[in-house]
Amino acid sequence: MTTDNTSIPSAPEASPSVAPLPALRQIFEELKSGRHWSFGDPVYFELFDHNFAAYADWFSQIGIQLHRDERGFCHATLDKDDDAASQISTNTKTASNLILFTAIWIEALADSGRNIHDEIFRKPEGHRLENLPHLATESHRRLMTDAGLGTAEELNGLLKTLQRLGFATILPDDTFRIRPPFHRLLDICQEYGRFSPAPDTAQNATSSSTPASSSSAPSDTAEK
Amino acid sequence: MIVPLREAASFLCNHEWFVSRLWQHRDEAWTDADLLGFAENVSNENSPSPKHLVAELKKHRFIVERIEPSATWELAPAFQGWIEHLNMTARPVRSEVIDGFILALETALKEFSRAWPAPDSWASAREALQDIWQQLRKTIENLAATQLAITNEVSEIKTSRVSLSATERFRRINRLWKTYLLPMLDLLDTGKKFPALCDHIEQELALALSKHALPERRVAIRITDEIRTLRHSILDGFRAAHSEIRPLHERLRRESEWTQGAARILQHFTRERDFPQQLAARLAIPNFRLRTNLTDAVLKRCAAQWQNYQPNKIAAIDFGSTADMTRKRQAHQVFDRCIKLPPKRFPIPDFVAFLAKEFPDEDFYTLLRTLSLVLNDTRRVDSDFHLPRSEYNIGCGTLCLARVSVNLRKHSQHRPRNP
Repeated sequence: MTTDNTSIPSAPEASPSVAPLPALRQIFEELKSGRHWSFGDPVYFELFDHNFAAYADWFSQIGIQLHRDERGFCHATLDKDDDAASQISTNTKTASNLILFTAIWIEALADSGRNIHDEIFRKPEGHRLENLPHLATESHRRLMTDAGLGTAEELNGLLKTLQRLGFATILPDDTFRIRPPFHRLLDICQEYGRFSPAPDTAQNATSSSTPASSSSAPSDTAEK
Repeated sequence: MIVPLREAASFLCNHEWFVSRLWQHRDEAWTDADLLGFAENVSNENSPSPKHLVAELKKHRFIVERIEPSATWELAPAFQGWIEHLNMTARPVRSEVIDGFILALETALKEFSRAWPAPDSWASAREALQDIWQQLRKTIENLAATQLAITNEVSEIKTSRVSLSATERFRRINRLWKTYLLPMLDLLDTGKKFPALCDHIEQELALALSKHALPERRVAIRITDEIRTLRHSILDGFRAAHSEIRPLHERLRRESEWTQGAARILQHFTRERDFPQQLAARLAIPNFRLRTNLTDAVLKRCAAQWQNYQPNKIAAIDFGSTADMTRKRQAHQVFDRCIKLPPKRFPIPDFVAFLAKEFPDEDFYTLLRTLSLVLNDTRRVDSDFHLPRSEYNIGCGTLCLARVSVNLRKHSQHRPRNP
């Protein structure tokens, strides 16, 4: 039987002279749900600039690795070698849906000949759900249906997940904007494209790579 | 046979539209039929016959026969070069060609170095100096053309976004980058082969001048001018092109990899209806559900939520009554056609999709019955369900179920079943 554990873990044995880290509870609460932080998040500057090393040090002691990416975001992953952290699961179903969402979007933008990066990140008027290509063509709709995302409501649900994880922001006028952490999803597509595996060996190729090598732009992983 | 200039110019003047048409298709190999087709497309009632036009074209040697494929034609290289000159169209030159010029320059320089100190070799020194200047001029012209061609192509790639896919854009920019720009910079950059040779030429000229043994001062000045052009405008141009293309090359490479990756991911998902676990694990979104024990209070609270739960009634599928026998017979016929398929068609990985595709004229109930017959005939058919659940549009209805794969049991293949 499982349930959400909402209590903050007991402080690791840090030096007593060190001042308590600000917003530690908030960061831990958000981290538990897979939050990615970028510009605009209240704790972003604490994490990214001021106290990154201190936070990274603190979390590493409970088996969580904080990552700082130079494209302007922070996120956390679980240290698989840590006994406690290895008991925490990762949300593979959500991850699969997000990867499918990203792959379809890229394919549609590439087919249209538009600048993929700018279309995703720099659209001044934002994106509208109804303008997304995911349910526009039969082939894409079928893929989305297979993943349980075949209706506008389900797609809207995925959009809310994107917002919850910090990949997007939904604005009051029902448009949404993509935030820097979305680069992580693009990185996954990029690696899958870069490896050029034969279709049958694709799985092996993916499994052999490590998260640290994920982005083309180097990411700054905190090391203890 | 020498072609009279007046005749050739007159042909071009009268049939400029025909030549323009050929120019548009200059990258193709034309058969006689193609040429006649071009001539017909642009001719009017006052024009000579297409056959005559093509014959004239050949007679004036505006087109020449290609080596291969045989019996095909192309614009004569000299004629094409002339039109390119008029259009200011630049063609990039590979670094190997420039290497050839450098080699010729080195030879000419050696000859000049040997000749100028000897008073009796004055004529040879003059000739070598002319040769240096010619080679240098050709090199610079080719470099300038390459630079212009690169700039033109980059501009075209930037402006023709809609017509080019991300992969094609990257292919074109990558070709410029790898085939022309980087090798050329490798030749031209400070301290590399070509600048070193230019330094050597300048030293030799200065030495000859200091000894009052420079045979042709005017040519020497031209040579130093050319070298200055090379150092400043050409090299700077290539460096600027490098700086301009580098981010574009990077971006297009990244977009191309995104596109290839996305295509592979979707291909995998289409085939397997799922992703490799490792792919999703790369995102590693934490899901903090720690193992723990639930208290009785928590369990009671959960139970209370479900206490008044009333499930929706399961809707029965109405197969009708009077028309049912007809549908039943049709279902058996469809079933028989399925199991009579050649063995190589089996296993069928997604049987419902197969039914929808192969029997588009059958109605929903018939196909549903067929599915039922297949699933129940365990004697002849092996069937298996695979997640995730999919939605199928068959007949006029939508069927929602896990994917069914179907295979024939070996002993029963090709045995029809009696309805």
